[in-house]
Amino acid sequence: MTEAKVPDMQRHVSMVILCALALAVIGVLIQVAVDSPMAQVPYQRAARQAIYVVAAALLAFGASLIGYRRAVNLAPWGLYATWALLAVLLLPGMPRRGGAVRWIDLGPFNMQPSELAKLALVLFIPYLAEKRGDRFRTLRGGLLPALGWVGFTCFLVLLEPDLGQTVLLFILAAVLLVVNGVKLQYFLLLISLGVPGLIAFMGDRWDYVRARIEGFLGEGSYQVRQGLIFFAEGGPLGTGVGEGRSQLFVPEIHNDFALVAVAEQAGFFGSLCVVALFLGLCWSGFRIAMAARDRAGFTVAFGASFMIALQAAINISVVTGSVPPKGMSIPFLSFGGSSLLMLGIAVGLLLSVAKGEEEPALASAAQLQGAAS
Amino acid sequence: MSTEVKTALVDRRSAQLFALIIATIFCFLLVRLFMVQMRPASNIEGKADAQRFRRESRVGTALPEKAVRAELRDREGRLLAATWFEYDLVVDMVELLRGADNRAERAGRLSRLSNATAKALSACGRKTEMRALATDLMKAANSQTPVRWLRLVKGMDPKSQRAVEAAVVGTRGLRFEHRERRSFPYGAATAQVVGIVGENPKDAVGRVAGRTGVEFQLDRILAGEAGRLPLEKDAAGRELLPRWIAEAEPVPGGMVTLTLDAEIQRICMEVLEKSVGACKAEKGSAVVLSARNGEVLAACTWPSVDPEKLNAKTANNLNLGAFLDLYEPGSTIKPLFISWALQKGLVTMDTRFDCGGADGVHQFGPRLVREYHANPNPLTVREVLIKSSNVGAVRIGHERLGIDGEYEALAAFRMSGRLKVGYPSMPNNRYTPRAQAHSLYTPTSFPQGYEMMMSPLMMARMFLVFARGGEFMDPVLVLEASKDGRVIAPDHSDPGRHVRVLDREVALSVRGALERVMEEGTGKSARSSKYSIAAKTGTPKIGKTEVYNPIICTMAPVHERDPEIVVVVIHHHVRNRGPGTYTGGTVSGPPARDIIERTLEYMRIPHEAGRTGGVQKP
Repeated sequence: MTEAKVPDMQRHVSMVILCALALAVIGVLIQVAVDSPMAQVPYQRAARQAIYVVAAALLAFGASLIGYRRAVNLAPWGLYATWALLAVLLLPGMPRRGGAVRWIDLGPFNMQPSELAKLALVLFIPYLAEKRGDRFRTLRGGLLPALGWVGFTCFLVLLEPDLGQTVLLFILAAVLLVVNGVKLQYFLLLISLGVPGLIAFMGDRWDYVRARIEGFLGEGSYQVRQGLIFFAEGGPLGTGVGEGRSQLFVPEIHNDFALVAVAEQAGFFGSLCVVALFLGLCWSGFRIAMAARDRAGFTVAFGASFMIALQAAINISVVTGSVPPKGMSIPFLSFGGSSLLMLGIAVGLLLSVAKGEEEPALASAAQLQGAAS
Repeated sequence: MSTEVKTALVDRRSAQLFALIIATIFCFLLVRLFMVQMRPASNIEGKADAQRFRRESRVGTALPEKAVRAELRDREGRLLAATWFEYDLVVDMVELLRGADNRAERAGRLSRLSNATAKALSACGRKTEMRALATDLMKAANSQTPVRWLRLVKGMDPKSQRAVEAAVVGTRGLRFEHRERRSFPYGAATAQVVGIVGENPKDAVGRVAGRTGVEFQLDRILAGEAGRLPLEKDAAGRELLPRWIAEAEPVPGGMVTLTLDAEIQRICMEVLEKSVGACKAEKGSAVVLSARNGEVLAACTWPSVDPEKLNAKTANNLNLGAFLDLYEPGSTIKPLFISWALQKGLVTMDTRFDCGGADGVHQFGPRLVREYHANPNPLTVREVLIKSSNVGAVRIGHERLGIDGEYEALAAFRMSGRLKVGYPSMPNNRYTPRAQAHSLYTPTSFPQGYEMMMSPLMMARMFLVFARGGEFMDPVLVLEASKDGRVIAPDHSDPGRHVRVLDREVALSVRGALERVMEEGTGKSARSSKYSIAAKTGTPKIGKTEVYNPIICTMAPVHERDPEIVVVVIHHHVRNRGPGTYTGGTVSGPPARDIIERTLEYMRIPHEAGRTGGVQKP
């Protein structure tokens, strides 16, 4: 490690903090801007989002102090806890929303266990990889055991049912397994066998998915169509903050379609800023991963960055009508405590990976100074 | 240990590849964002607007009382049907509580509204509990699922509405919605012709639609066209505040004036009520036509029903039997065939026929035809009419006109098909089609008024030919209707409406014979001391039972002048309870005479001098 790398890593850390914070603040502003005129208590959602941001910042700080190493060591317990929470959703009497059970009502706060599942897998895969060592590259020593853990987690999420999160979890896990040395061709083989099985398992639910795809190829869904008109209304500079009307016509504007509010009120340059912030965050995250001092640090940093990037990419694709509609929140911008808190932990872990890389580098700089004197 | 050694087990190239894929996806998304924001597809706006806007009629709230259902009036301008409004007080809870930051202020606003409303309603004599109003408001305000619109008070009359409006003036978030209600001042007397209205489930603003009668027939004219306001809905399907700029202004309904005279209608109803009760008929119908222009002055069937008191049991009484029921005309058809034979020169009024003599039986091939009355023999054509001789009528029809001549006569008088008065569900008047006619039975049945079915209105139209001196004219029911600012009215001068069927001399000679029916024939019971009446009675039998439908077709006054009115009265299913209890002359004659006398007096037609006799008891 050379002295020149120290300010480089500090720049990435600063970039991650800056981008995450900026996105989170934009998320709060969106909740202010799209506050419904019919809300009984004005700005209630924005206030809650601000509280979540503060909590997420504290969690990020805490996670960076604890460090990714301890987090990876605790990963199995984290995964068991996630399974338990996902299993709670399967209990009879859990409240349904839109035909699915995805939230556990904790009074003032609704928890979404599938958000926890993403972080649990990001931590568990490096744990498993380190435990298995060289054998992790093989089919029997690495892929099949990993598929058992990952598959069961995905299965529980699929039972909610939440096909989008299931696919996201599976892609995330697959990418992390591949970057940990599992051969890509094994996955391609498994996917070619697994997709028909998944369709069969979905049963009637598959008709719903097919209808969405057919709708996408035909007229398009209500939300997407309304979203697109507000993208267009935004134009280059937008209507101005608080001057939008998209909250009246775009369902889930505070959540999955939060980018529509940015596009309408801040225009194309607003959307561009948001995409740039995501790119900056993920780019720095990838750079931190590449400079990680061990396998666990690399996997955690890469996994956290990839998770954020992938989720943002899917969400932007959906709201711009580029892919069939799928309910998926956009990181930092969408309203929701579970997502924001998990993102806070992910950013904290990312910073801890960067910090872990910094220590030897600083030591070597000190040594160099000592030698010079 | 160096970083490279510790991370040697990870696949850096795969990681870089995945990072590159993500970067590529983001680049694509940037292009896509540019496209949707800077160069949107032209059709997106139309599709989104189609989802968002609902073109809706808003007569109720936005543009009050401009597109109300129009009035129906009779020929004298009397109101037959009119619209009024019933109001609901609707509260926009969001608007009402906007800016109320604490519980005390919210409670204060709710209680002020409920107090003011309850007081105003009590002042109008409407019992309303303040506590109930307050409870409704509190429930809506504290509901877990947000309530936007609360219908606080329903069904206020205009007076209560004005009082409440004055009491709550200045309170935010209140609006009154109104619904159409229809009143029928003449109730049961005109209900069958005017018809009724009902809620229209397709109409979003609660306007009514015609269900029966003229209300149904002229619904499009009466209803007008509601204005259209673009109405936006939010993503949850909740109605947003409408833009108060109409896309299309409402067009008020066009007022309709009927040829009906409510007074004559009422006279008919009163007379029928008595006569139906006296003869124990199932029902009775009467039609009064103006002989001058074919306008329907009255058409009714007893029993009727007041639309305000309509229920499942009385709903059938809304049927206007005078237009809709079909009967065999019996002997009332005889003038038609006889006049046609006169018209064709096949007989004269003085041509004599052997009508069976004292036993009153004549054999036509295998068929025996009997006289109903014991008539002298032989009979002239005039006497055949006066005495209502079955044998004479059959001999004229069958032997002189022949089957083709009879069909020719029916066609000339247009005795098949629907009458063109436009009234809904008018039946098909009909007779045995030529292709199905029996060579003997059909031509011997027709002159007796069998093998054919016609409505009382059709019978009246047939007699209108004789009343108008041989000129055919279709009856009309609508005197005037305005649509799109234009007045639509039947053109009585239109030559197409006047079709000569008989020579005037023929018609007058038949009319003269019919006048003598009242003096010497079957209509003695209907003889009037005030006006000269020409009539033909009929007593068609229902199958082989002893149940009859006694009919009388009349016109008056006829003495040395053209008549003013044609009146047909028929009683439905009268049982034979002895002589004089079931025939056209004795059952339907007296009510027809009463209708004629009272109607002509109402029309200020002076009594005819020198008339004596009055009512002759059967």
